[in-house]
Amino acid sequence: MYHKQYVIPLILIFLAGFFTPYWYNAMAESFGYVPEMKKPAGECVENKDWMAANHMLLLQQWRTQAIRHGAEGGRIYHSSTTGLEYHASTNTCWECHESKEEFCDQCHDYVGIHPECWDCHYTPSIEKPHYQGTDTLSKFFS
Amino acid sequence: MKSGGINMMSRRRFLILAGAATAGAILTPQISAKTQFVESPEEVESNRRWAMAVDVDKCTECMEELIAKTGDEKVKPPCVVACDKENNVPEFEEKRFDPQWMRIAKLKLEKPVNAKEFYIPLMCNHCENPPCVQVCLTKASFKRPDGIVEIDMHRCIGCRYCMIACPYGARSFNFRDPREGLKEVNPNVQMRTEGVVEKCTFCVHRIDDAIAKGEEPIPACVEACHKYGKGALVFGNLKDPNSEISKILRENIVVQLRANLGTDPHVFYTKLGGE
Ligand code: SF4
Repeated sequence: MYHKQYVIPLILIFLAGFFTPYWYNAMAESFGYVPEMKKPAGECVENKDWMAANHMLLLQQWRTQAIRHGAEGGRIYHSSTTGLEYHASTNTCWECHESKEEFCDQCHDYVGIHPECWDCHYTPSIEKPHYQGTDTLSKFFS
Repeated sequence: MKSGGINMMSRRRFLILAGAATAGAILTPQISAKTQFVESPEEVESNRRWAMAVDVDKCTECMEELIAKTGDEKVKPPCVVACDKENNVPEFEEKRFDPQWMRIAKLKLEKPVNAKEFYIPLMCNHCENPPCVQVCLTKASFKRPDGIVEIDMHRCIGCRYCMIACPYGARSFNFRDPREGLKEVNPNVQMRTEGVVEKCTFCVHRIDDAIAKGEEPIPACVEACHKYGKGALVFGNLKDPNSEISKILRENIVVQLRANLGTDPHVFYTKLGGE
């Protein structure tokens, strides 16, 4: 081989760079930063590992079900992990995950993505009083 | 020649491998959950058709009382306030930015005798043949099998064709971030964002909840109208011959707004026209 003294170190440097994700992840536990998520207050609608990989697919399915098929009972979601029925709504998530900052944002900020869900959908971090139903209107009308 | 043949083989193998790798990357684990619905669209269509009836006499009475009490021509009656709060409809000072799901119109009946003024609520009529749905470019507007015309905000691109198509001016555009105009939030209804169109949904979240529980659904405006107003609004299922609204339609002369256009609106006005 020609120029062995250059080629072999360069190949090694290339390989080290190429496998960055692997060694970085392997070291992250001890050296680097790992997003830390708050433990939810209850059981998730589906298996935890499946949710970590596919939560956006699930939310997408809920969205289609609840909006497009709401009249046919689409707001009811049948979990394939527990077999129970859940209300297909982001508010179902907030029942266990009480904080967006301490759960969703941990990973999303870490990988630098900004889902647009919360432009419209309710999150517990909205600091506005909750509307409590028509009974509270008695202060305007008697 | 021979080496050419070998090259062909290896290229083919390369393409097969590349194809397999691409397929593997694209075919990520798909959702596994079951999507079983309670009813089929055909069943829903034959079982339920939501509609509203308005007693114009009672509505006028309520509005005149409110105006006399507050001295404000533009006062918001209970139905409108309840709608705004239930559905997170924002309120802005500048009227041209202010989305409205329900509003009250004042009509004058000009006749030599018995000249009269009316107040009627205007909202989305949930037309049987909705022109807003026909023109929607992205299929964001659609009609559910139970007759409710809804907007899928995720698909709305804010082109506002539907606002031009709707003969009733029932739709509003969000020129501003609606959160600026909200004092209270109802977590059960999503807010909207800048650049989408919104309109009355007959409180679709309440309807679906009530149906799932086997109850009679009641939109926020109707509830408030019966609690604080004169009970002018009646909401119900037209496919059920025993429902209150079916009775009202049988026993009264009802008026649909701009019925000549063939949209077949499903908000019916009774006692419009006086006598
Ligand atoms: S009233 Fe207007 S917005 Fe409502 S369904 Fe009819 S055309 Fe569409």
